[in-house]
Amino acid sequence: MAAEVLRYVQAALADEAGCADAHAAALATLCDALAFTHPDVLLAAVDVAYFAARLPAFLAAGQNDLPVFAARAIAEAVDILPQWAAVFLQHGAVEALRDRLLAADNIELAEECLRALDEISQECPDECLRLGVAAAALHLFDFLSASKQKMALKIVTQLVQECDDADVPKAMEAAPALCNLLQSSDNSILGSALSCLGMLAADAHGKAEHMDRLCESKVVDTAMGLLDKDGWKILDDDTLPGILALLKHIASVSEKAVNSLFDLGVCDLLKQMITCYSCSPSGSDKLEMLVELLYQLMQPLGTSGQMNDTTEQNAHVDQLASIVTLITQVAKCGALSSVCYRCVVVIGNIVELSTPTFLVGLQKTANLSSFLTCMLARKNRHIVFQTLEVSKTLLKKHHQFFFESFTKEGVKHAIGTIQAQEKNRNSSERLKRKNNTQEWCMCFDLDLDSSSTDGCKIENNAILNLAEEIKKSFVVVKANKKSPHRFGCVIKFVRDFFARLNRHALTVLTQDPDLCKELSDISRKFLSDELPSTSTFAFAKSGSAKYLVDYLSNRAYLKSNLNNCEDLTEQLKEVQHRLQKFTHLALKVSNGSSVKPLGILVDKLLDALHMSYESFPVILSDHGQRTRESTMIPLRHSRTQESESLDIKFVKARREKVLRSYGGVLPVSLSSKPGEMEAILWPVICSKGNAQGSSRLMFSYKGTKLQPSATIFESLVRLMNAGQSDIVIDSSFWDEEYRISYNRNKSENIPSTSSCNTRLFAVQEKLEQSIVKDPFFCSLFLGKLPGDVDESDPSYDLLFTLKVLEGLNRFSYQLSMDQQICKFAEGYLQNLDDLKVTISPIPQHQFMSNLLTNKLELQMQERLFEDGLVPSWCVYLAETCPFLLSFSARWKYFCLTVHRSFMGDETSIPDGSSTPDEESAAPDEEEEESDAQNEASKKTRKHKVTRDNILESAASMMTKHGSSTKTIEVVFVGEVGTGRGPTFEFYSTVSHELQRLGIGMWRGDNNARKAGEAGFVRSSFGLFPQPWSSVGTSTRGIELSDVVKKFKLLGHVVARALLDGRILDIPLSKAFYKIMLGQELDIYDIPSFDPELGKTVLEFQALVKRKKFLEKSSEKTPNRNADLSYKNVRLEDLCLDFTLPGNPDYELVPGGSEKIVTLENLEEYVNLIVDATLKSGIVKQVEAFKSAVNEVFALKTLRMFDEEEMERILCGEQDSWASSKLEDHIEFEHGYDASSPPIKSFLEILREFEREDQRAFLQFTTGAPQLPLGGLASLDPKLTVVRKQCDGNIDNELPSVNTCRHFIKLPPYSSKEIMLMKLKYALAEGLGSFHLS
Amino acid sequence: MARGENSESHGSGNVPAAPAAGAASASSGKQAPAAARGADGQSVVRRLQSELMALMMGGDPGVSAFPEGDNIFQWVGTIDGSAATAYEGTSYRLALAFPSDYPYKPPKVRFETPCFHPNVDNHGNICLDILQDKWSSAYDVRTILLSIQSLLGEPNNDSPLNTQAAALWANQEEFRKMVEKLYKPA
Repeated sequence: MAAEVLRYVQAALADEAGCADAHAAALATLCDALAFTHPDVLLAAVDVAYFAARLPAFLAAGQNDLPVFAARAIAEAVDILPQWAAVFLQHGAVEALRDRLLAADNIELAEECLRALDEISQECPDECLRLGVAAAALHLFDFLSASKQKMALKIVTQLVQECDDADVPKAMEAAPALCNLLQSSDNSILGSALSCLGMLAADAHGKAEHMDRLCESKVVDTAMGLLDKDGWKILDDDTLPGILALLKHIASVSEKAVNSLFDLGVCDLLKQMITCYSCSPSGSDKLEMLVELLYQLMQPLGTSGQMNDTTEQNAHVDQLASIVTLITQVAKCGALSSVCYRCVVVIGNIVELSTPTFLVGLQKTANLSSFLTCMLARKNRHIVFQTLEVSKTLLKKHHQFFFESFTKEGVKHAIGTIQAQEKNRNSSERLKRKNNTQEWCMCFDLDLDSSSTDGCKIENNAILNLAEEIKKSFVVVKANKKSPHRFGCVIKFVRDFFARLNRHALTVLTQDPDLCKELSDISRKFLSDELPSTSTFAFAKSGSAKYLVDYLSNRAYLKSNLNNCEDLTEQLKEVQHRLQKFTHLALKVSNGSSVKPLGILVDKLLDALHMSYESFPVILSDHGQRTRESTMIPLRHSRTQESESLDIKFVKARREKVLRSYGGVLPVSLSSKPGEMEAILWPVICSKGNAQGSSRLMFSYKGTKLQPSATIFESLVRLMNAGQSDIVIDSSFWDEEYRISYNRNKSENIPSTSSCNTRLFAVQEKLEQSIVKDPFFCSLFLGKLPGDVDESDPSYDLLFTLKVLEGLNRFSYQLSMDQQICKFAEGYLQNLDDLKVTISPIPQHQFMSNLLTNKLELQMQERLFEDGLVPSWCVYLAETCPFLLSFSARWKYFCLTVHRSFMGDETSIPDGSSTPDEESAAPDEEEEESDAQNEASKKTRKHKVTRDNILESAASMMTKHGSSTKTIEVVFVGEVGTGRGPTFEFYSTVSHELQRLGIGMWRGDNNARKAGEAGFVRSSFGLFPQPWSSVGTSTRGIELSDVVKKFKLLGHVVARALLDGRILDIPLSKAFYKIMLGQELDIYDIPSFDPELGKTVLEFQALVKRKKFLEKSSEKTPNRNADLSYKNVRLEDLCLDFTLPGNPDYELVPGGSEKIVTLENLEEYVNLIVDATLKSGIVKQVEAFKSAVNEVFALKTLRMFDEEEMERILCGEQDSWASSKLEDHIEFEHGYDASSPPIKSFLEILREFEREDQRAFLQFTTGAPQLPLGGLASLDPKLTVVRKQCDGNIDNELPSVNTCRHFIKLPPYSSKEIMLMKLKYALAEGLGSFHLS
Repeated sequence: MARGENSESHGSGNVPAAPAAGAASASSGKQAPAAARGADGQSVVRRLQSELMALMMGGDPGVSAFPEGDNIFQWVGTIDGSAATAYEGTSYRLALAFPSDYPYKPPKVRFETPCFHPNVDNHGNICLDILQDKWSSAYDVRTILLSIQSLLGEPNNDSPLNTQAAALWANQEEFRKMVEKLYKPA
């Protein structure tokens, strides 16, 4: 039937004279026929050549509907039988369609034409391109419907994709129109236009004339327009790379484009972007692109001429140079070799283009030499080779200067090392040719013709030859160098300093005041004068880390020998004394500089740590699999998924006689350590049931012993890839079977060290200072980092030193306060009011290592990370030195690993709690209704709660689902809402209920207890458990058991909130977080949650110390008339008795309410108060809380966070002062209103404040670091900003406050920057007196 | 740091004399039996009773205080304006409320009689450092009252609660008029 219809159509069309209407009707029929007929039938029935000849004519000449039908017919025909495209093409259909499009008389027609062209161009892109379809397709773009717009772009894409060189000019015709489309607000249009332009640029690659043509269409300006003014921040993840790729291609050949890029400020833009992406965990690929773009920017500059260039080009080089500092930072911290390599190449190019004088300046600002040393320490041959090249160029440009700076910064030394290594390598390679350790060649990464298949440019001897060449040039200089320059003196001083420290590491300084003073003088000089100008190289070479640790810890003593407890106590006191001295010096701002010595010291140590790049090898399973979306963290491990494992055959070692042999092959999971395998093997291979204890077996692979601290998998991988730092496992690794031999562990040397430890702990118990009980001090006194570590690794001492410094920074308040109290005791301080700490710690983030963070981030992108592909250094850093890693990296690490501490795990089963297995076995009623959403219910559990009785509902929910591995969602009974909303509300309601007055949980509860008073505990300094006497179990109608239950509930809620990503609204005190994190609290923590009590208790403590000191010294010099009154009041007259302040029912001793505090029993009183407040009074509550968390997951996994971070995790990022509402809740008076410029700056500053800044600001203005429940809105009186009247220079004034009225008096500073500076200064000063003011 | 607070108004010469030695024992004689212990802190009661004795024995001119009714935690104090100040001849009533952890925490002190003063607001709230973060357990009712008395004559005009009063301070004559105008003795 179809054939007949077609014949009829053909006949109708053949009638040349036939009227247009008849033709149109025939064509319409044709279209229908084409659309509904089977291709085979058509092929048989239709004379294509005929139609192909006729249709273009209709198209060209026809009126009204005729061309529309003709176009549609073509489209339908090619759609159904693509091979016809060529036929139509032959008969001029494309020209006709194109002309119609260009004629632009009818949108419907144009759209049909587009469709037809789309079909044809799919088949014959080249021909269509030559006929100018590309430009034509975009001709009427703005008038097309959205779907046709996409089609037009699709046509262009098809046409320009990989077109022939000869056709490029034609393709370029589409460029102007495409450039216009870049301004489109539609992201998909923008994206397609970009990709078209990108293809065009790729096509035109290497042809400057084509590229110039592209540039004429203002592509550079438009692209830059998209990026400019923070535009890049809002572009999506596909568009930005598109733009960068486009610019890169254009820049690579067109000098003109490069010039205009520079004129448009591309350097500043790149700087911003690099800064941003170098901090973001997922920015490494963007970083690579940016560096590539930079590289391409220099191509034309390099090729177009030599040094005698126009001034304009020099200006470009200057601009580029401003990025150098940034790039060196990126490279130093780059975990990916490719990023580093690119950075080095870019720097090499900049160096090549710069003049010697310019480079000298650059050395001073960016310290190129230090950067080179760092890069030379990398194992990657490509990086090393490029770095050597750069060194060579630098020497060529300014020999004398760079020779000196190379010597100082260690480049010279590094080159020597490399030379030696290479010689070694060459000789060993002749013996044994390794083939599987070939590293990824990067020679061509930056070249745009990626087609080159030549081998690696770096030959075997290339590095050696280059190193030797540079070495030779050194000798030349040495001969004519005479002046002993500054460098020599500095390094001598540094060496002397550390040698001296080392000499006195064993001296007890407290007994030799002269030596003590001398040492502290020289330390001061070192820290403030010499350290800043010391190079990292000199610093590291002088053994700094080792000597510092020896001096600041007990290590040297322990090494010497351990005699008796008496000595040990003395030693520990000595160490504490040194720590105090050092802390004081390191945190004191020296005159004239704004940086604290500790900050500089930490920077140097981190720099030195970055040189031992190889101690932290990243292990990846395969290339190209690093595709995990950084935002999607699988919080829960899906147990259904088959996890990767290795087949291992365990065989008996040849010499082993006692053990039996083991036959089979065992699948070993990635996370298994030798100890776990031992537990499986031991029962089978042990002949007699003797030998108890751990480490009974020793495993080895090919003769090398496996480390017990690393997983079997990691040991294997590292043994097989010896000599490499970062490892990529190839796929064949998984298929092999490995033979591991075992024998009995004969050497049992463990007890000797542990007995020493127990003695140490015994001594520690006896020391009065309880700060030394904190884990930090424990590791100091043991003289080693906790855990199993290789102490011979070059990074060990650095890590230990950093750990010590981080600790003393964190404990600076305690250490310094303790020192002050001693001073008071000894009479150096007269007045109790002078007990003030004058130093403040450096910000915690200064201890963060970008490199290690990046390495961990890279490792975490590995697909198998959750399965246990976790190199031991990751575990080790997270546990012992978490401060080296960024918060976000640690949080991700926690999310990826927490499933292993879930309580379903065999490793850590809590007593008597239900396991997840039981849970899933018993389906509960809530589960059944969600049958429909089976998929969702796999991951979540719903629970119904009642609003009236929310705490009980919460408690029952936690008993039921507390330890579930699924997410829990909440539904309120009688309400329809479900999902996130109600669940969030539930958590915040529960956390509010737990702050009610009259439930006896928190301090400050009993103070405001007027009968029946409702409301919440107001705690400006955060909530801390209220002590409960161990004797009484109920007070004022509250049962202790109820309080304990509530703490248990709090523990459950906290744990669930953490796992399920919920947010609590509960201002827990820092001290409570410390308890959560397993830190020990002491007397110095009391001021942080109860300043008044804390202050008095500390003053009492000082008095006790003074009394003791006097008693001791009076034996020698009796009758020293010192003041032992409490601020001129006799202690008895304070009328204090032995009950807990504010809680008269809590007797500190039996009959305490009758016992008056006197000078004689003051010590007992202080100790009892501290104990009741921090320990015995709250132990039940705290234990209930901790065990509740432990029922869900192991609480100790949280120890990698600090108090502030815990708060951030639990209470969320957003704050009670939502930034949009700031101006609603702040009042402006006395010369200010909301529109005054200083107020605008002020509000901006407040909005930009980090949480800690906000806290400091609140502390400063209101006297309390925390806002009441409800935030700024419920602050009474309202926060008020008034204008400060100042005489003279306004910008010299400081803001001041009235904490009674919550006034801040703000001078009208001339700029926001100055205001920020002054505010920060005021806040920092205010915080110094935070604990005791 | 330029924290707007009143400078502490008593030097070493103005330190409270130790309460009479007999005070403590006198109060201990009055101790409630153990059964009566409960809601109110005995330690605080003892201390307050001792302070009361000291106040009555001490005889400081122009300041006095006494518990209000049966509640030892609520006191009423009076201070007379010092001679040769704008407050000469006036007498102000104050309310003192002691917390259960007194003397670790300061009492809340408020003017009951309306007082026109740069550091006193319309509700009688006082801005005085020793009642806030400069509080020390060594202070007592007597020191507080003496401090407030001296604050009357030596206001801290840098951080006023009552800006009108602060502005007027320079003109003592006008200031005196305002003080008298607003003075409404009970």
